[in-house]
Amino acid sequence: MSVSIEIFVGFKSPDFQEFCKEMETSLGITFRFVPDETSRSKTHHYYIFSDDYKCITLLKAMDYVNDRGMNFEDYQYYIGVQAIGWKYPEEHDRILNESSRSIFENLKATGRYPLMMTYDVQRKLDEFYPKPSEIISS
Amino acid sequence: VDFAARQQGAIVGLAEGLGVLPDLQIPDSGSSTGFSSVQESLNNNPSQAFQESRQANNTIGFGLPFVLEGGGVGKPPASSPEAVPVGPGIVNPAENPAPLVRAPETGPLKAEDNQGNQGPLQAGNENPNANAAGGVGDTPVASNNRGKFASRSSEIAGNIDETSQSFLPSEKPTAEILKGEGYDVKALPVSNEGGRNSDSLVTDLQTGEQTRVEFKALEGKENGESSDSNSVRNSVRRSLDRNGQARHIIFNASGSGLSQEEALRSFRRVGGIEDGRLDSLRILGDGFDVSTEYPFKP
Repeated sequence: MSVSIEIFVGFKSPDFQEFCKEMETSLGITFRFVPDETSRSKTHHYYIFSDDYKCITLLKAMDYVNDRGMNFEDYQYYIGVQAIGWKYPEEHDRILNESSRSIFENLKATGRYPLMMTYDVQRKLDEFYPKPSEIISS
Repeated sequence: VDFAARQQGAIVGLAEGLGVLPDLQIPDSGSSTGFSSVQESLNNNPSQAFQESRQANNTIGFGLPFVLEGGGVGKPPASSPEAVPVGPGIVNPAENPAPLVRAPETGPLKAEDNQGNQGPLQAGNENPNANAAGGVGDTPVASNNRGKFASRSSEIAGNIDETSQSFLPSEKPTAEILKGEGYDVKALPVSNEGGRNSDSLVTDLQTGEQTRVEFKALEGKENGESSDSNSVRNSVRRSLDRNGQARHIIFNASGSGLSQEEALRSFRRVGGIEDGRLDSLRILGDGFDVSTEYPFKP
């Protein structure tokens, strides 16, 4: 449904495709490009991966405003995670929880990007700051 | 009678249905410490395991590899509808006709720029220079009851259909409100084909028209901090990010601490970012029910 978990990633390259490739390498999955066909500006394209249980999207983190300890402006992209294929709310929560946590821990293990995980961009769930020398920059 | 009272009244007695959403903070039972990759997680069939667990224990018996801080996704905020059991039983709104409180109309409007100066009000969506922090202005606009799903009264109540998928506890009250306003509300499964989700297919019993609508919920107060227009704006921003089917969003802001003033402020701020992807926005809060349409007009 409309609830999702987001993992914001500090990846300073403005090249969205480069970010996608980086995530594909880190997560071991392949994303598909989806062009923006609905907005006036036609700038809201994204990348998507889905299976029977979850839908993962790569998006640009522009236009979010800092809110209640969540400093969105520190991040350039984010990974949106939604649970699919569920019937009951309990199942939804468990799938969403496991999937998003798996992604966060995999990215955290690389030690390469600042990360912030949020619940529906309303509540900070976790965050990670790598050692300064290990932050990816371009 | 305020909205919260009506909302709670509409779902009283429904505990025999779905029951209370369980707390998913389950201690590590020694299972894996996580998937080595996302692809690996595909082999860990969560749905099947979930069903087996339900059958065996009638609980969520997973040794979840992780426990989210702050309650994780399985623990709704203290003020969320989770505390009120929901289920298939429904109270006929005609028997509980508590009217929603209409937002009062306010006087002439002035917009405020980033420096605090006031000037003529402009519609955020029409201003190409809308700032990232909130469109072109942050001054609350006149109250609204506009848009396709603006509050209305109805002689007849609709039905709620959860045969394909259940509504989340935070979404069910919104479905109940629409039902009482003469709509049939059907929960739709989330698509895996891309595109923004539409939580429900809403059928207007007066016209027969069907519309896809997304239901959102604002979290409750945390650490004394209430939701405000930032919260609404970010949440809408998130919904809009995936090009979608649902061009109408309804927020359940009950218990979030969102004020009517901030709700109205958010209408304008959303106008600065909706970029042609939204037709209407309605916010159901504690003691108020406001809605607007887009392109935004003050």
